Amino acid sequence: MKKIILILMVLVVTISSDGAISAKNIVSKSDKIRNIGKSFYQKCYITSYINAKKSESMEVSIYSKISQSSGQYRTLVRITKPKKDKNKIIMRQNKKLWLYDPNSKASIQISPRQRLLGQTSNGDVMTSNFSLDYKARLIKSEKIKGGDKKMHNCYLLELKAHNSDVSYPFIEYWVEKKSFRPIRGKFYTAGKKLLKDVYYRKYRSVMGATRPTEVLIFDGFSRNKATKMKFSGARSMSIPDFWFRRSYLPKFSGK
Amino acid sequence: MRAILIILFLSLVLHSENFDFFDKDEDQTRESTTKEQNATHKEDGNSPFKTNIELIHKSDLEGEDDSQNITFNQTFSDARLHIDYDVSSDLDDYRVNIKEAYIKSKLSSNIFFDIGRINIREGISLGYNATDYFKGGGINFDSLATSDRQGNRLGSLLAQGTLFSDNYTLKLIYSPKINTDPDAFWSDKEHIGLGLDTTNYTHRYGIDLDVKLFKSLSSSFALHNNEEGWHFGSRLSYAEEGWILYSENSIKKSYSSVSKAISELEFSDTLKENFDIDKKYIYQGSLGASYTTENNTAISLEYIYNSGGLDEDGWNRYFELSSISAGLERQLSAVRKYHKVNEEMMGKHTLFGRISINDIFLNTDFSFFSFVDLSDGSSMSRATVKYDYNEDIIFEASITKMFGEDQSEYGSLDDDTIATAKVTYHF
Repeated sequence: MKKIILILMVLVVTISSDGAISAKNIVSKSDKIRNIGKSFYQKCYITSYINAKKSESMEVSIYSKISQSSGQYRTLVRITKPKKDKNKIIMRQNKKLWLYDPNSKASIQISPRQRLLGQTSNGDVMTSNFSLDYKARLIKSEKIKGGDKKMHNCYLLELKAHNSDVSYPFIEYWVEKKSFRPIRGKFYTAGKKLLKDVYYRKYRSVMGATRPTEVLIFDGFSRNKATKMKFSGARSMSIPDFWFRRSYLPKFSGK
Repeated sequence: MRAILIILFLSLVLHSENFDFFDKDEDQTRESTTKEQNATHKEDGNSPFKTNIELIHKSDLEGEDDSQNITFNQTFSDARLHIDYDVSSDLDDYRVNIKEAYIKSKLSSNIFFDIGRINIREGISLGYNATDYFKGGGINFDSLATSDRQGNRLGSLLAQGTLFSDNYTLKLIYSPKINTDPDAFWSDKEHIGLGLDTTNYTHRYGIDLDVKLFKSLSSSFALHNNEEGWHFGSRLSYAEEGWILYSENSIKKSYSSVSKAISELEFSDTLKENFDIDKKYIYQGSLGASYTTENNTAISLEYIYNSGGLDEDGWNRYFELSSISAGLERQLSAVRKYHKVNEEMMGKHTLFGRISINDIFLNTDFSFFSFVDLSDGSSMSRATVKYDYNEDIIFEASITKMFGEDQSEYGSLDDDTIATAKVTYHF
C-alpha cells in the first residue's frame, strides 16, 4: 500500500512539474519564433484604423540586442514618420523606457503603457521575451480561429507578470501545438479588464525561422478600433552596448 | 430553434466582421504600404534631415505687450541650424537670432566631436538645473520657466569631444572668451547679431563623466572652470517601477547671483550695503521625485535650494529699498532681469510641481506646473494644452499666471497673466 501511495505521489509530482515546465517551454519556444534571437535591425509600419478607415500611421526603425546579464532585449526605436515625431527615440534599458526628443534635447522616462499610435503602446514596439517577464500556466488545449481566418489547434496559457514594469500584468496566450507559433494573445489589466486582443499572422521566413510579420491589435473596449504592425527588412546587426546609454541618445544615428 | 439559428448567424457575422473590414481595408492599403516602403528605401527612413517652423504669439491679457516670434529649425546630417525671428507689434522692431549653428563629426565609432554655436542643456531636474553650466544668453525674457529658458537661449561658441564606452561616457568641453567690444559684429545689438558677448563672456572648460553606479542608479559628475573658479556638480537619478528619484547639486566658490548683478551692473552703494556681495561658497541644488501612472499621467515634485538666493528677510529688504526711490526700484528691477537672462533662481527656497497627462482626450496632451517661493508663498503657474491636428501641424496654447501679494517674488511682477498661442508646422 505504501508503495502504491509513493508511486502515486511520484506520478503526481512528475505530472505537475512536467506541466509547469511544459508551460514555460511552450512560451520559451514561442518567444524564439516571435523574436529574432540575435542583435538585429528591422522596420515597423504601424497603421491605426477606426471603423475600417485608416486613421493614423507611423514608421519606426527598431534596433534590438539581448542583454547578456538579464537575457531580455534592449531596444532602441527611432521614429522616422510622421514628420512631427521624426528622430524621436525610445530606448528600453533594464525594463525602463526613455524618450529622447531632439527638439528639446531632453530624455525623459516614460511608461511602457503610454500610447504610441492607435492601439499600440510604447511597450508593444519593444522586443520582449515573455518567458522572462511572466510566469506561465497551461490551462487547456483549444481550437481557435487565427488572424489568417484558419482554425489552429492551440495551447491556451495564462501568463502572470513577475514585476510591474511590464506593459500588461496578465495575458491569455494561444500557441499552436505543432509549431509553437503564437496565434493570439489577450492582454489584460491587473483587474482583468481586457486592454487588447492581438493576432499574430503572415508567417514568413525571417532570419532563419518562420516568424509572424504582422501583428493585429484590436482595442479591448471597442473592436472598431484596430492597429496593424507590419515588420520588414530584418537583418542582423552588430550593436555596441554604449548605444543603450542615455547620454548616447543625442548622438544616435543608427550607424 | 429559429432564434438559436439567428443568434448563431449573427455571432458568425459579427465575429467575422472584424477581420472582413480589416482584410478589405488591407487590400486597399497593401498598395500604399508598398509605395511607402519603396519611398522609404529610396530616401532611407533613417535620414536625419528635419525641418520645422514655429509661429508664436504672446500677449498679456490686457493686450498691451504683444509679441510675435518665428522659429526655423533645420537639422542636417552633420550640422544643425536654429534661427529665431522676434518681432513686436511694431514690424520695424525685429531681431534675428542664430540660436545654434554647429557641425557634428564622428571621429570613430565611439568618439564624437562638435564645434560651433551649441546650446548645451545639462541637468536632470525638471524645475531648476544647478549643473547647467552653459546657461545664460537668454533671448526671450517673457518666461521664468526653466524649460522655456533653456530653449530660448543662444548657444555658446564651443568645441566638445565625447567618448562613449560600455561603462561610462566622458565629455570634454572648451569655450573661449569673446571680446565684449560693443562695436564688433558679434556683439551687435541691432536686428541681426550673434550676441557672442553674452554667451562667451568668460573662458570655460570642463569635464563631464557619466557612469552607472549600479543597476537602477545613474550618475554623472561635472568639473568646470571659468574665470570665477571651479564648479563641481553631480547628478544622480534612481528609477524603479514608475518612480524616478533625482538630485542635482552644484557647489562653487563664487559671488551669489544677486551680488553679481549688483556688482556687474555697477549699482549704488545703497544696494551693496544692504546685500551680501562677498565671494563665498554657493550651494545650489534640487531634490525631486516623479511618478508615472498606468494611465499616462506623470506627477513630479521638486525642492530647489539656492544658498545665495533671497529668503524672507532678503525679500523684505528688496521691497523696502524699492519703495525708497524710483532709482532704486529701477536698479532692483534690473537685478531681477539679470536673473532671468542668466536663468538663475532669485529665491532661496522654491518648490516646483508638475503634472502632465498624455492623451487626455483625442490627440490632446495637458500639462500644468507651478513654482512656489516658500519664503512668501507667491507662485507662478502655467497650464498648457497641446493638440496634434494632423501629422504635420501641432497647436499649443498656454496661460501663465502669477499669484501672491504685491510685495512677493511672483506677485510683484508687472504682467500677472500671459497667454501664448503656438503653431508648429513640420516639413
